Amino acid sequence: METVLASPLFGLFLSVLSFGVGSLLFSKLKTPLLNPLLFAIICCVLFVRSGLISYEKYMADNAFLTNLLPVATALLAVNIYKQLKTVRKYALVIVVSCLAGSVTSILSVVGLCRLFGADKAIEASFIGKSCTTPIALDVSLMNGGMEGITVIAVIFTGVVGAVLAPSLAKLFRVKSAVAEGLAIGTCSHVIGTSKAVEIGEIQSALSGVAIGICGLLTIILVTVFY
Amino acid sequence: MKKPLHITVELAVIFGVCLLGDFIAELLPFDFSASVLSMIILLLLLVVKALKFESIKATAEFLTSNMAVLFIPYGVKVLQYLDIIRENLVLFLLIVLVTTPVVYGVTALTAMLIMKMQKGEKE
Repeated sequence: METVLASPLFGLFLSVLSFGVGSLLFSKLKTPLLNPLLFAIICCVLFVRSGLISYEKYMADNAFLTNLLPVATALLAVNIYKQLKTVRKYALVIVVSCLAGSVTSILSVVGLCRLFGADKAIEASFIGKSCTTPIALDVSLMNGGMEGITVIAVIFTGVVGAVLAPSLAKLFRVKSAVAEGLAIGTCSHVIGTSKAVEIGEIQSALSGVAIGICGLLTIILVTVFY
Repeated sequence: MKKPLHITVELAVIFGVCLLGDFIAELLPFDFSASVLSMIILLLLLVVKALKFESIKATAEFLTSNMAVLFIPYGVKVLQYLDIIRENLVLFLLIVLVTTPVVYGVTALTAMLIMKMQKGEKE
């Protein structure tokens, strides 16, 4: 048993196993509240807390995953490329709405943090939270944020957006599928998009496009103004 | 049907683009995210057809559809910040619960306004 615990594969095994179980549960229960990533994080946190594996060993074993983060970001280009037709058709609407949404997201986070006197590290951890995880992590890391908090904030934002999406469409009297898709993708990234897939094809496409465009705009806005 | 490239070739192309992003980021006179530069480079290469999507397709689709797995260890880092979360829980919940609907509203209303203006122009 000692060889098993000492194997560099052990930490990686715990990660993929918990994500796998989380995905199975998610496909059975179909609720955004059971997010496979959040489930896997909670399981791995419990493994570390229970002493099954030390924090340091878990991180060392999982360097394989963390090292691929820039690849995940670069591949966001593929999502935009695959929707190029949609992007061309609605170019102006997409760019202006995503810009408005991204600016609102950044300003509202900074505003609330300053109002409550939170320190810079907290602010940096939350600024990109409406964006997809690799972008939010990038913003967080470049500005002295805390990665662990950023990932959790991104997931919670996604879950809140996905759960509230149908009520928000009623509240803001959103009758256009294009506007609805853009709003979902801008405020709640990939998790929201998985909800948009259930609402409709146009919503799903535009929500997917918004993830990439908002990611790009947020990085540019934060680099220039923050 | 053309045979897809060997997976190692696809990975080499993708990693190569990422390294190119790192290289360019280093040359820039200001700090800019290297991985977002890689994203822009990859998008441009695909749009101008300098790189065929088919030549990275299998690997790109595998990685993009399983991307969330990569973020598990970053999430586990939350263990370092449990005290900070406990102290700021109310603020954290407030940020997520307030900003998310606001961002939704601003984005949706902007989109509807722009589309209304575009319609007006056409008539």
